[in-house]
Amino acid sequence: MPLLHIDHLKTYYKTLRGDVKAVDGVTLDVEKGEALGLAGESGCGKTTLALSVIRLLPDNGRIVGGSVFFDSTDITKLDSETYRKEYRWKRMSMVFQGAMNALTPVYRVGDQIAEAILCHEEVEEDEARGRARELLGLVGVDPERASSYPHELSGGMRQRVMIAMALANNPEFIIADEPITALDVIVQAQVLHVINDLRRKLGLTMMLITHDLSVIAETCDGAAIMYAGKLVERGTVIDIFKRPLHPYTQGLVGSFPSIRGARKEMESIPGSPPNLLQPPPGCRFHPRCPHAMDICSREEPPLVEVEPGHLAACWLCEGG
Amino acid sequence: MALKRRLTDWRNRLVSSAFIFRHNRAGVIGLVIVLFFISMAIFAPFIAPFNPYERIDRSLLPPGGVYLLGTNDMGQDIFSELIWGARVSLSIGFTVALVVMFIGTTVGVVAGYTGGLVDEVLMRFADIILVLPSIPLMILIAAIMGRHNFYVMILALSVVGWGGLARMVRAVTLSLKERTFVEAARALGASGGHIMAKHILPNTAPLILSSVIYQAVGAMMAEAGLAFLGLGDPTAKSWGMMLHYAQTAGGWWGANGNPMWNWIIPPGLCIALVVLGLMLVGQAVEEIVNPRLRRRR
Amino acid sequence: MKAYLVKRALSLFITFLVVMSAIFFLARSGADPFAEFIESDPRIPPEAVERLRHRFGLDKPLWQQYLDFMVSMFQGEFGYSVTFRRPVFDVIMVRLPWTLMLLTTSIVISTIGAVFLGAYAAWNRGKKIDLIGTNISLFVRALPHFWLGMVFLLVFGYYYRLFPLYGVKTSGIEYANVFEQVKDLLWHLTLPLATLIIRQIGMYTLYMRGETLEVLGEDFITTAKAKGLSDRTVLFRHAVRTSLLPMVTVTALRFGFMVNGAILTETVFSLPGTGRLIYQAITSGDFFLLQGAFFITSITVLIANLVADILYSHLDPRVRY
Repeated sequence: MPLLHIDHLKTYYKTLRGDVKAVDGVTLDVEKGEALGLAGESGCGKTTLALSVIRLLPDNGRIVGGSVFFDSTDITKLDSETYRKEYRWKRMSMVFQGAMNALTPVYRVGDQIAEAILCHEEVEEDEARGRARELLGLVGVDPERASSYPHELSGGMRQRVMIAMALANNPEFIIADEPITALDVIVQAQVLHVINDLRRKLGLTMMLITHDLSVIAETCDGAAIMYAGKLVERGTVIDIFKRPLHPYTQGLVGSFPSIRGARKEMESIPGSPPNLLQPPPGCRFHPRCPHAMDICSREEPPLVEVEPGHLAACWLCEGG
Repeated sequence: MALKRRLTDWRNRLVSSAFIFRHNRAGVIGLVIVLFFISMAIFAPFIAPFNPYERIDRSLLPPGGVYLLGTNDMGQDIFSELIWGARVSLSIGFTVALVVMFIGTTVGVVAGYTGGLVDEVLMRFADIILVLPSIPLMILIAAIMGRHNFYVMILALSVVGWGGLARMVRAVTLSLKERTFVEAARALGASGGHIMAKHILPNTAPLILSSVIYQAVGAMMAEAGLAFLGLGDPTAKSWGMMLHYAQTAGGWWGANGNPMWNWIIPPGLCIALVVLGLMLVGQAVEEIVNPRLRRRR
Repeated sequence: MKAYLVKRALSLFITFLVVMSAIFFLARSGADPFAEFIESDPRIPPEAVERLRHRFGLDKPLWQQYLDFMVSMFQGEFGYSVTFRRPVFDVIMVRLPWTLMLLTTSIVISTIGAVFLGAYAAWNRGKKIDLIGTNISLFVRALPHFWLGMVFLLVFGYYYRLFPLYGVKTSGIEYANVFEQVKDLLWHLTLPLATLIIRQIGMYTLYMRGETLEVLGEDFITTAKAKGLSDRTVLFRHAVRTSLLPMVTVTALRFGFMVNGAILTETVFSLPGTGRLIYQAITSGDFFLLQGAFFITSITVLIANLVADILYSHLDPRVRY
């Protein structure tokens, strides 16, 4: 049994114009100890997927179908108090994108880390503070910085503080949502290094969300590609980069000279992602797909295991 | 060509604004209330059964009968006073709002665009106005002018009212100043006055429009307070003035030692309703002007 | 932080000087206040008027008068009140405590009330309780201060006879102990305080709600929720704590506004405060009294602003300039 098993999850946002189907029937497993990279264009539902797992959807968002099993428990069925006390941050935590504003401006960063510890564990305040300092050291921030306020830290340091905070309660599973996007290129490399390092040291299971494939190539074992609220392909990093099956993945990967090559934004596929209020029928990628067939606009392709551990949702693969 | 495009642009904005407004139920209710009182002010001579400035019967009569709300200490019909009061209160409110709009916008644009010492001095004055309590300030102005009439009232209310608007307009001007179209105009050699009048002012218009409504609210409230203290224009009866006489000349003891609710309640209720109506309209306009606020519902 | 406070204090002091100069020059550019209020009094003989003119320095050149005026203001020599026949300073000092009590009590209670109600409404945005709350606040905001007081007086004073009609103590009463005295005082101040507090809560609940809504949309609130903190902790320790910053600024600005409220409320309930003193000074044309009361009011408001600045710099770690 995988640590995280997302099963036909559907998450919709209510808007004045109707439901936005941000995540529409996604099935995805994350094995214990795996680092999974989740990629896709902005607005494809990858952040929504993460927020559904950690149950922090905005007011107008709700899970309308499917389940999320964490360590064999369906956490979508838990009442919110149990979930908050037993799971959130204790067993799974999250590093948010853009740490500019992700820390409360009026408290010292050390106290904000300690707050997370005190919330879930019966420890003395001093001990929590001490652990907060250790955590800062772990992510490469001078422990003396515990008494700094967020505005006194650089963007990279704030992001490290966020990572330290995510580790506060020794969770088994961490979701990192665009952890380095808002940073300078050099700082990006440093923060990525910290993440890589910690993952090995602590044996974390991780889901890394990004629109930048090179980050996944550098950091992850597995990769999953989302398009317009659907999972289109899932496999190991090698599978995805060497033998992409879905035309969308091929488009993404095609823009990379090589796995270890220079970073590049994914802009190479003509057209733009569909409106998720009324997604196109059949395969959602068919209006942009170079290989579109008749069936693509009529029926939705199922996600099938084309080769062991390598799944794709495309009629081309269905045929063999 | 450019003019035509601008006109269509304005028309489209107007139509979509009207659309948003119509869907704001509170705004529509507010508009109805305000229009009700405006027509009351305009048609006062036809609605009011008596001349409110004339003694028509005994003093301090109870409500009912010919005099719907009884009579005051001077034997004047309170109901007629109430209707005529709309004229004074509304005209002061709107006049002050216009004057404040003029002063506040001018100061704000000039301070924001010119910057430097001018900005510093003007904003210091705005802060003084904002920080100090307005009633003593108005009293002082009135005391110095040596008399109380409509114009002194307008002057006093305007002097204490422009600070907030000036600060707001200045902030908008500062951000507009950095925009490319202003820089382009400057590069083309346009004078400061031209840029302020043609490029900055039109872009602050929506903001000013919505704030003018709140200025009118502030002015009406302040006028009521000032008149209540006996500092109104003694020749024109406003609602605040009515309450002043109710407070000092018999509202609490009436003809037989009982307080006269019919004298105390209606004027304040009228002020409250007009103000409420204006605030509802103001909120609706604000939502049109500032879409970010729409999320706050 | 120190530099920031010094800068603020300096700017408030300049504000204060400008205000005082304005009073002086505006007053002297009009009619001679002395002539208007003293010489026209037939009870004072002409020699006495001359003597008084000399004593108050009104025969000196204008710049000298200005300097004298500023110096004497800071020494608390505000002149002589013709209505009370006592120095203005003494008249004001007897009354100032009442107004300060009224102001501070109502500001503290209404701020706490507005913070809680506003935060609660924001947390429950769009729900029934929020809609009811915002509509009531809006309506209360539309009520004139003094009229709200009059209505309270009418209903609870005259009709139900629950509270006294005027003043701060029952006339001719001998208190058996301090407790009795306090009780009597509170009984007298219930309606005036209720007027000020309800009106203020109405105004600032909406403001607090708006600020809290803004903050609740920030990323750090998501972080706080993600940490597994309870709703209450997220709301109060993170959201409310951050929205308090703009509230402090507004509270300072409010102080001037509250003085208006105090003047009107004291007039309605016949309370012996400085607000009512200003009213009496106008109606009796007592110019020195008005000037002195204005001086004290300005000082109070400016000090309140300084206090707010200090509080702000303690609450917001980002203030360092």
